[in-house]
Amino acid sequence: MDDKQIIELYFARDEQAIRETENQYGKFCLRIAMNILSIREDAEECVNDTYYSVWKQIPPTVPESFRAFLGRITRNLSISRFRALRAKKRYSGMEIMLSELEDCVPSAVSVEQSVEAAQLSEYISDWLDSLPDEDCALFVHRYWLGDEVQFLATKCGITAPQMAQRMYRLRKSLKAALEEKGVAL
Amino acid sequence: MKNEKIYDGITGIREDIIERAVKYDFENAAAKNKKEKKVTHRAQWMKWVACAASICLVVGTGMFVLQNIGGKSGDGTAAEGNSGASGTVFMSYAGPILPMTSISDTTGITVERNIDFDFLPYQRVQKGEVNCYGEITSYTQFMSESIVTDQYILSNSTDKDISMTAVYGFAGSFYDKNRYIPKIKVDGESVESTLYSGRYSGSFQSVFGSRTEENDRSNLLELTQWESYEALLSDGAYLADALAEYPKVDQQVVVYRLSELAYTGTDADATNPTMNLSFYMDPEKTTIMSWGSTGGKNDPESGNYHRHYDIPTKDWEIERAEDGYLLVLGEDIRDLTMQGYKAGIYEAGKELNNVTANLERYEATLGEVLWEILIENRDKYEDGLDESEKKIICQISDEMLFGSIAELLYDYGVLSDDVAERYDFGMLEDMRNETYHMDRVMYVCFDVVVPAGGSVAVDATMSKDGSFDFYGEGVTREGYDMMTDVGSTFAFTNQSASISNTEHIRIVGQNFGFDLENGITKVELDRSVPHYYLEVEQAEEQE
Repeated sequence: MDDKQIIELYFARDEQAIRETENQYGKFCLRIAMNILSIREDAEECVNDTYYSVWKQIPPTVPESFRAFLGRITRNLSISRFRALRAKKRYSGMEIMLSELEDCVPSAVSVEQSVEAAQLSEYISDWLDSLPDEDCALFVHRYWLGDEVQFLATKCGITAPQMAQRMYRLRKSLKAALEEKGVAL
Repeated sequence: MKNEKIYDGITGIREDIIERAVKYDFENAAAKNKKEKKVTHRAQWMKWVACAASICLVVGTGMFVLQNIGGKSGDGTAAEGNSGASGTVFMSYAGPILPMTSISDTTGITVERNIDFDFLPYQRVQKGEVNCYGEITSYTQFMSESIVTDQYILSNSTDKDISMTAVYGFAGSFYDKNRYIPKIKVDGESVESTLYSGRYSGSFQSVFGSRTEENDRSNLLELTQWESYEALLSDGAYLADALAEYPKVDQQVVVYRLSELAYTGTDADATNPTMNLSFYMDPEKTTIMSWGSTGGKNDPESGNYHRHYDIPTKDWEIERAEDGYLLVLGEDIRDLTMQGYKAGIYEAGKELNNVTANLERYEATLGEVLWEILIENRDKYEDGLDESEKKIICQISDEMLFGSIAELLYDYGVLSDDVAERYDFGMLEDMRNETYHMDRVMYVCFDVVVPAGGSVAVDATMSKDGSFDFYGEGVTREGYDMMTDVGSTFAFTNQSASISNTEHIRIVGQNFGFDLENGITKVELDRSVPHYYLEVEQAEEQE
């Protein structure tokens, strides 16, 4: 069953939609949640919450990319759980990702522009669009899907330190791009 | 926090970008890159500057790769609630507290030892912050370290003073944000000591996590159990090696140095201008190492090799060497050509004009060049660290850092007869970064005089982080452990252990015999037991 057919099931309020979503994208969503939360039980709860959220949002929403739509919901639910429970649990995946992203925070600039999250996303999207395909894919895999550096290094056939170096350059490049826009956070 | 704003910004990136990235086939791209053949475009602008053996300063920095990303991997046999006879095998193992020893004759000396675990720092700290939505939130930070005081009473039963060099070992790494070097006091007075470093204490494993595939050594496999430390240290060879001189690196090498790398064009497709060196070499006769190179390709069958060097830009110049190096050991390379490329890699069809550089060729000893590259730039490399991150690094001498890099090159790098896959590309950045982060046992050596018929007290005090699991049922527990006499030449007559400031902890596993409810906070240790462990978690807060 393709994405369009699954979305049609949601519009028909057919609960088979959720089973089909799970069949097609369950592992994808669980991967995102696990990469952020590192604790399987919490990740599975987030994925179940994702299905419930999708059921509430479709209709009326018609996602352009069903996979990205699902992934974004899972990611948002996972980060919410991380923020709520970080004091009690050690979510190593998210902690590591956040520490890396400190490299992207723009330095103070002369003409500062305080941006909303949506505007920031647009800037980041523009920057990603300007990258070679592989760099763009690597950044999204690491910081959107949360894939580990070692995992990506293996996929690309290079060592983890080499991949870490490449990621570092990308983070610095994003920082520079945001500074160029005069972004202040 | 600002990094969370970035995270939220990334969450909202356009869906078409996500879709494209998810579908990107890394494996195919990597395979395609490997198959590509040599391209030898000799650029019009290429400038050669031949130079006889000269020593050149390199201006540049490197980046501090976080080797601890993901933490140290264990074998996945984490706690199931109760510890076994030897305690939990943690995913991140901090290593045991080791007993003091001596490299001198200690005949006539007897030793009593007491180790104290002070859990004063182990507590909740309430912190507040403003989140990315501008809301004020508070969270509790759990401090999970213990202050360990390892005390020894050395008694001299002879009628002559006995002088000795005592040695206190500890597990750690040069870049260790959680540990300081133990402080040594003799009869309450701080004493001068000398630091020595052992080699990498762990081994390697395959990219698939297998520990039996001897031919694939792509990932580090650091020590995860006390038995591994016992095997490493029991015969004294590791300590003897740590105290010995570092290996020499005085081989003659040919140095190719790329300087004044620049891109003067305006091609919109030049997203990451790079200079590629293409050359021929016989891998049986030649070994190469690089510095400042961001990648390359090896084709041992045809003998065609490539190394590319990114053009420093305004954004990147502070984080990498301004000059690139290619070091050639053995037979010189030939058919060397240079060509610019658009997107950071050697890629046929994506050549880029107006990429310029000076290429210098000269001869030197490997040691001279490595010192120039790795040590003379050390300050720039470490300047990025804040003071809290310099707990151990600031006490590592240039000679120790250099010697440890040399050891790694000989043990597992391209100077080894059996090069580990992890290092077979010859990138010197890997050697330096690994040397900083690899686990090892280090030693503090100091002199002690035990008076005839008298005794002295030696205290080693250190902050010790607990071992822990990243996830799973045992995620709330931290482990602390010690070894009674591994590798020690002392004649121990008694060993005991104590625990203090326990109001914030609950003991969930141990073989010491502490009983907090009944006030048993000091116990005698059985010297026939080589290893003691203590596992704790945060006590419930009293309302």
